[in-house]
Amino acid sequence: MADPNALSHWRRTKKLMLVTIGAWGVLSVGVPILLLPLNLLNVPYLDLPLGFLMSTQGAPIAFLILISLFARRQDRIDRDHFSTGGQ
Amino acid sequence: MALLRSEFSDQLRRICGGCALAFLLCIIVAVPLDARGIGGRLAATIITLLPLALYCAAGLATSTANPPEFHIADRRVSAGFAGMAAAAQWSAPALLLAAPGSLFVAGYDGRPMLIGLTAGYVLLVVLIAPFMRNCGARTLAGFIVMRYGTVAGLIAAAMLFTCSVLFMTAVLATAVAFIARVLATDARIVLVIGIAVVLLCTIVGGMASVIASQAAQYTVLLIGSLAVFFLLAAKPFDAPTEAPYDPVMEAVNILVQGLGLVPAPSPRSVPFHVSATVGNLEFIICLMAGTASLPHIIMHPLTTRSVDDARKWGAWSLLFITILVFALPSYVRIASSAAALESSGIMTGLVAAIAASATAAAASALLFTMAATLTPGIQRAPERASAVAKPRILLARGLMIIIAAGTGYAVATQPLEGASMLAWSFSLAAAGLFPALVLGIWWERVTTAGAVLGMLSGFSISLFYVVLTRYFPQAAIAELGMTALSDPASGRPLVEAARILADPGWHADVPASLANPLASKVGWFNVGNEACGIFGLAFGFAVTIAVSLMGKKPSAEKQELIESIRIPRAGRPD
Repeated sequence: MADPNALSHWRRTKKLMLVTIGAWGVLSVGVPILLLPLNLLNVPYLDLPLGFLMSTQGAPIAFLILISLFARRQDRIDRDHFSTGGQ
Repeated sequence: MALLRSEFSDQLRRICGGCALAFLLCIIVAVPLDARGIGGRLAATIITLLPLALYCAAGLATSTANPPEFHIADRRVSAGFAGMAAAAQWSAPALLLAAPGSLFVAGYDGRPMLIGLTAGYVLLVVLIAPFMRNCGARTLAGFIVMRYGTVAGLIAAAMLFTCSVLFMTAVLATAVAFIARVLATDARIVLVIGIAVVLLCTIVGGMASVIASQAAQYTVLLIGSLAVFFLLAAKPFDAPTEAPYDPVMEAVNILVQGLGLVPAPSPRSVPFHVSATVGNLEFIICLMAGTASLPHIIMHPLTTRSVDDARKWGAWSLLFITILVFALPSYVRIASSAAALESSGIMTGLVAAIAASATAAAASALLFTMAATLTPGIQRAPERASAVAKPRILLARGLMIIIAAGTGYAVATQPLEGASMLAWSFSLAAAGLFPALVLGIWWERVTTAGAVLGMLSGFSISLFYVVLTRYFPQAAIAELGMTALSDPASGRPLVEAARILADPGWHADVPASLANPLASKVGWFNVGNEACGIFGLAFGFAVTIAVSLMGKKPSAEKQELIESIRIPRAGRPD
């Protein structure tokens, strides 16, 4: 990969991947492990333990937000380095 | 081309609108009749059958013999509709794994499924799907052929086919038994109608038909579950007192208070034991990696218009899935209560229609990808004018008929363990494909030998674990040092292995039969066989990396291919 543009594109892509997968790991592996401590916290207003909320309805919402942020960031990276981006 | 693209979206919009209108009208007409106790049975039958007719219509409306449309919906599905179609088929394992809807009623028991089945989309979208869309692969096996060559592709195709067959028979067997029980009809009639609908939704227009009918199925799933919710809110039935967890009643209460649809904690929502929550983790990992490796899930981003849309597809899928997660608990509450089903023909019909829609969505996608995996020339979609294009479509259609008939026959004649088979499907797909897919994209050093050996070792270790624990548990304890799994609630062993082994009677008993008291209740490290993929994943990654490092670097040609996959390319030919 001699093209410096492609190289720096790939470097930024990898960094974004690591950050996203890190957040994914915290949510998908960390939450089950830390369920009991998380349950000690009560979410105000809804009056539910945090661990329970995060492992039921919270999970799909959290992953939805994560993927949306990732898609937007990666699209910007693609556009910065290649005029057409991923379109 | 731009015109064509918006045309397909318009068509999908019309199909969804038409389905919504017809289904709503049908429910609105049935409500007053049902309230007077007239035609309960008729209402149930019509509410079940009408959506099926709509799916056939959606399939027929998008019939095509044009190769790119047939194989990949001409890559002109918008991210939103592809996400909607993916959410429709997501609901099948979510509703059918274990007892119907244990995802929602089991509290923490069902939690691994919800996290596992949604988190997998993150893996798929970040690590795999955009790159596969970028290189123009038509199927998952096709991508393996591009990256690792034909031999690896054939091995992958065989593994994927095995997983898909497990998935399809599991979904069909569970759903057919459930719908037959709800409607109090013959299971064989349900099976024949189901297979016919799935086949019709798939065979006439290939991928275009699958996407169109899945969009229609999502519409019915959503309207059906919302109808159940509002009918329940209007007239709550007497909940059985032993109900361990009651999301609907809680949700109705909360809605009345204007707070939203969040279920309240119950005794079931308190985790049993820390070891149990960690024990679920292996299964969560298998579900996540399996979601990212099953061909019928990967097919949706491949139909989108661009690499960027393949990523946005993930967000759309999770949006539609989240809507279902909020809408479906009412359905589950009704589906698991015989008393509620008997009280109303509409409820019976809605429950059957929802189960049928979820099943049809998964089964048509599976049928299509199985046929696509077996069709030769699997790397890319054939050109419009190519001489082999027409025979290939014919072959794919023939394969669909054979596969549908075969799985139908298996469901009708074999005793099947739906929930376990579904879990094995996810686990085996993860073990066989996930390391080769992820490393193949992100690490240019992976060699063909490394990938092939990694796939083979991962898949066979997991398969070995399933077969051993399910069919030869006595031998596994005696020869291989396995122990009985422990109960997550109490921490005590599920079965008294020593007592059963000491019983001279078990030699006479067929060890493979379902009656074997040890079947699927033994394992290493307290890992149940539904999470067998955890061993395969570990070995798969280790073997792929080790063998690749021992071998020579992949050729310059391969390096170039990998680099080109990483650069988002505009207007890349399919």
